[in-house]
Amino acid sequence: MILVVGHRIDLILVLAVVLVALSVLYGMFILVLSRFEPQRSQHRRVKIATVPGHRKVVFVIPCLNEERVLRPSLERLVGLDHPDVQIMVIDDGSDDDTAEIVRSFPDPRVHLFQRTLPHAREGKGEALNAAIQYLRTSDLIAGTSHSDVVVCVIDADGRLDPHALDDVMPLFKDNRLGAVQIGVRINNRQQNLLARMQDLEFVLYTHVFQRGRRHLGSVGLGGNGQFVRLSALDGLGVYPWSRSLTEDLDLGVRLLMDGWQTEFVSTASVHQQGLVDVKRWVKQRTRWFQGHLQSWNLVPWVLRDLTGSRRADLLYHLTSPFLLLLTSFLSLAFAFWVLDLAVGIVTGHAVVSGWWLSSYLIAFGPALLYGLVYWSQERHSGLNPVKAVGLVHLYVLYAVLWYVAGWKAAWRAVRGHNGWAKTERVVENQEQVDSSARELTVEAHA
Amino acid sequence: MLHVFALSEIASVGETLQAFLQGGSRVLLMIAMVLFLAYLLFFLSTVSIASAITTWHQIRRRPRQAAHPREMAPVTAAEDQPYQELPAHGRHALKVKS
Repeated sequence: MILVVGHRIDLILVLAVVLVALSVLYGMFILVLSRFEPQRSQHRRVKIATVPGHRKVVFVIPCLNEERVLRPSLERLVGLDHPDVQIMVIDDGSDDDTAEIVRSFPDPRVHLFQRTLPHAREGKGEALNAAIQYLRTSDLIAGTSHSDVVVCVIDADGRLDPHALDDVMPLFKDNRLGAVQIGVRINNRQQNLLARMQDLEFVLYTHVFQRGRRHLGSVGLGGNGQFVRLSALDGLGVYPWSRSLTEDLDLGVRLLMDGWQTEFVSTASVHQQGLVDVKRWVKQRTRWFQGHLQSWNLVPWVLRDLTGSRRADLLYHLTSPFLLLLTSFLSLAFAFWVLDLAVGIVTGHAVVSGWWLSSYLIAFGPALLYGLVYWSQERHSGLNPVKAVGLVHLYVLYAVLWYVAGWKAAWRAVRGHNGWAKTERVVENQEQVDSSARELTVEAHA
Repeated sequence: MLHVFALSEIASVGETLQAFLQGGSRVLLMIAMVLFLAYLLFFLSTVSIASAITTWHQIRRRPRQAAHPREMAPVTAAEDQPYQELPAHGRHALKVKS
């Protein structure tokens, strides 16, 4: 308690209110921004409309034991309607039939780039670096300027929307554009609640935060559905991807620092497999969180090389794991308060207070608005607004799982355990995957 | 009599539990706020210092550029450079252990 103009003020409570207010305001600010197209993008659209020509696309698919999901992905990629497509599958030392699937694939545009132990299995970044080094001197792009080659990194279970290249590739006519990220959806989101929560998470991240960050010039890259101009990769040196556990995050930030623009395209998505059990989810998110912690070494560069809102937003984004960890204390304090209230109700000591409603609104209010965003993306699948609002209530509880992953990652980082543990895939239900992708294609063009 | 005793026992346990929850909640809140205050100070100070340095560099650069205007490098169309030389280390290239 401190005394301010004769009044006793609880400094801790004031700070808590400031923290909550700031996070709600930032969320609302980004939500409002995400509803409009930035001026820069509008100008780009006008400018590229008159520029002729097309760019070569090279899909790069890093694989480690992906026999369960690879063939359908290749079939979808070769079916894309684009005049100049090559597909390079990196077999990063698989034990299964991944390489055999590629070798026996009938389309000549599908190529195998094989790494063998002890040089394989050094992480996704290292596999991508090796593939790009090979690509730079290979016949696949012979005679084509590196600024006219676009590399698309896609996961082995990734299914691109059929119109994805039509939406993305014209943007690369703008020579200042270094990279484009597309949306990510979970194709087995009907399978269980955890998969549904991951879909909700990706939709909110992409359709609220990535779209909002387009205005700030700080769009980030993900590991799946990432399109990068080869000349932009060249600017980052011989080894563009870092050894970080989240090499995609690093790449996006370093491209921005190198002066390239990055863009997010919300009309196209890549559909990937969601995790359906909590244990594997925690393992994967621990890896992501630890990678995010490793990206803190980019902070000095961000401060030195970027300016304005881009600098502030990226500093916030890179250091946000710290905020998540501190928020875990706040959430636990909130849970204690709710329990205290419950005990009071049981023993008959509870007094009805306006704090009850305000606490509910603080915890779930912004999520209600995000629920409407999710509903707008899912209404074509029969989701009604009431169910969407119900789902975002569960999403707030799902976010608590991040605390587990966050603290586990922090503990691993403190102990110096930086190992790379890949999350295994499961055999897919092909009908479900395809119907899901069809629905979303219709929705994107609606 | 037994009923009254049980009720007072429940009330006593309830009060103890509530005291623990309120105390615990306060401690957790204090930890969170100390960390938040540290983060806020870090964020605001780094952004302010970085902005001040950027502004200082821009102010210094402008008069120099006006005094010594540079000639533009010849522009070559991208189509005329089918093979580009790779920089061994770009500005944000990673340091690679040999």
